[in-house]
Amino acid sequence: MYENKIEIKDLNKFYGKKQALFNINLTIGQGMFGLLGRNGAGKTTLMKTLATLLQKKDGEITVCGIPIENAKQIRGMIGYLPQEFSIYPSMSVLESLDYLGILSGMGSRERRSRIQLMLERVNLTEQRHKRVKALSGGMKRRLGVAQALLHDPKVLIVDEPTAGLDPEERIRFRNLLCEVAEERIVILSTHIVGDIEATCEDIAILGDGKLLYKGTVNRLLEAAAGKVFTKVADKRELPRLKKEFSITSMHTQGGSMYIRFLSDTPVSDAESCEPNIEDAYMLCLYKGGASFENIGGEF
Amino acid sequence: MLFLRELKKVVFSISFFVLIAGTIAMVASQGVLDMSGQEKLEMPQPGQDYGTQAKEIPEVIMPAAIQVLYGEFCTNSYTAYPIGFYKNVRLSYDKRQQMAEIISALTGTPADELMQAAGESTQDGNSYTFDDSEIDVQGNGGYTITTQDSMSSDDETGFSIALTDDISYEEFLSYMKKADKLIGGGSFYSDTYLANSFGQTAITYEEAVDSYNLIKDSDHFTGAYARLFCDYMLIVLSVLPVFIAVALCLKDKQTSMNGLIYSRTASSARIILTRYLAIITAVMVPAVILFYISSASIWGMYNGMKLDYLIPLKYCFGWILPSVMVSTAVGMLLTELTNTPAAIAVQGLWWFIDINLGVSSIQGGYPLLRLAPRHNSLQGTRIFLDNFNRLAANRLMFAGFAILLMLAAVVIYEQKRRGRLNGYGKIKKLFSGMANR
Repeated sequence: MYENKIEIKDLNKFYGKKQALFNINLTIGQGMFGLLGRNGAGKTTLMKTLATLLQKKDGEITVCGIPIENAKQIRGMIGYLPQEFSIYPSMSVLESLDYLGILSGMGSRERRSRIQLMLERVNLTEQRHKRVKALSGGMKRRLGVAQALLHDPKVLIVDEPTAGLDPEERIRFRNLLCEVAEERIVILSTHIVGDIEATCEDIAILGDGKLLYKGTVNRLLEAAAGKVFTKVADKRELPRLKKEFSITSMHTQGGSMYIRFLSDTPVSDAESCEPNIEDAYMLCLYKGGASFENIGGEF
Repeated sequence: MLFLRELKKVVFSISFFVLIAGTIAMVASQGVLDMSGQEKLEMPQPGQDYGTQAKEIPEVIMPAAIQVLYGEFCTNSYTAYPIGFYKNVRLSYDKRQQMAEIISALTGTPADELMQAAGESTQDGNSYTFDDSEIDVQGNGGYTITTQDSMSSDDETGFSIALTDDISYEEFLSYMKKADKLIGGGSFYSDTYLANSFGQTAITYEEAVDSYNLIKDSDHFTGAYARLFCDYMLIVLSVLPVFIAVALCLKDKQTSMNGLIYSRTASSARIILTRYLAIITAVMVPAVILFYISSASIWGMYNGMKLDYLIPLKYCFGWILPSVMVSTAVGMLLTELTNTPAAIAVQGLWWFIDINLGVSSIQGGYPLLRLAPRHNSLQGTRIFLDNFNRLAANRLMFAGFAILLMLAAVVIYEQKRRGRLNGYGKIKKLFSGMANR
């Protein structure tokens, strides 16, 4: 019996001549796993490769011991919620789940019971006869999770699921993912650090197709200790500070600006503070080769 | 269950409503949805006019054809229908000389003299014209050109020539073929038009009786009406299914469903072939219903006669289905390959050329490569029976071709699912460029 884990060894992926992933080595175990990275870092490429939708150039991937080349077996084990999730708008919630259940090879009795269970789990039972186009953004994402979990997969891959959701829906969605992660591997790909902070213990950070970090959130935070500072600055100082440091946050209070920034060495008239995951993530990107201005532009 | 879901998607699509509306409009406007308005096929009576028919009688065809060819040569103005459309062809000096040699071989008149005569007539400004009474457009793509009396008179046309006595019909045909090739194909002298243009003869009473007996005994009347119905149905059903196929395949892309479907365990063959079957079913069920409505409208006209009540099914699946299969397969294959509606242009062009070329065999004949075999007549049972094997070969070939296209579509779909053909190739760029123009 194989362990519930995904193993990725020396994975490379090209789009034509352009390399999108460089020698990725990663082991993902049961529970929530966060994949962080800027837009274009290669997260979706990695997710699609795991979902058998893209062909790798070389390297090895096994999902619960099954090589990724066995596409049919892998598809049976994976539930996938793509970045641009959508279902035929004129279908009802029930019909769309039934349609995707058929495509997953489920029998009619199994489909009926699983659909009912999934709708209850994602709190869409009352909307089951509504057309997909009539659902709100949050409801659609929950429907997305329902369809991905319909065939009870061992692995759930969710790609940028919270983009565009309001805070309430986002929290609700994160909690849902945490619940389903108790019994399977859930890979959450996002560029929203708050989603990872709230849900994941193990994470990986991708930058320009390269693996910049893999490990726990705590270890990432430890690596940033002593490198995050706060300072009350004059507005006129801001252009200079932006050039010198990676500013992770700033807010104005009266005529002063409260600035939070990264620095490898202590900075005079600035106070060292406890790093949060956002600081640690930005530090990781910076060390991975991104410039201050570039990574600062992300937030 | 997947089939029912796909069928529902097809039936509730706009393109399906367009197909149904187009099909009903076609059969209703041509008077074949309610066949009671069509003529009743009855035993001919002596002394009636039974119409004309094209017959391959060398003694009729040869003198008429050479006369018209000579006339066209003299004016250097040839009528042709290369893809079913009228085209006036003018030959270069070299080709005129070659044509003169052909006419010379057929008539014994030296080529130099022919060239001289042609030059003089051109200088004189003479032209070879037919008035309405001399050209009879048959409505079936054929033309009867009357060459008696006024046509043969030097005084009236200025052109007259006669065949040599020692020319055989086979030799004559080979020269006609050469002449047609010089003109560029589709001329009166082509295999397609020669007998239709110059071999029209009056149908005799005995022939009319034989024809009626065939319709009664072999067609059981319903067959004759069924062929006419098929003729009109195929004009629309050999092209409209491509719209449904393209719309269904593009729907996944437009609604970003590809990722969800690709990552499911269902095989590519199951997904693609089920969709194909759903489209075919959605098209064929209304076709059968319309066919029965049409066929039922004549049952009352032939009380007491033996009728074939299964004829709509036989003709739907034997005659119409292969064209629907091909049109749908072209739509699915090219849409999966290109992710664009390019299939509509491809199938549309094929259909357009085929329908125009089909005018030459509009009353039967059934060329092997005809997408939509024509039979725009209640008569012609003999033509149907004589050419049945060719028609069957045509229909089987098209059905087989459609199956091959669908197998290719399955392979392409599987490659797309695995990310091996994902819109990054040259094909996508090429077709996207065409679509964006």
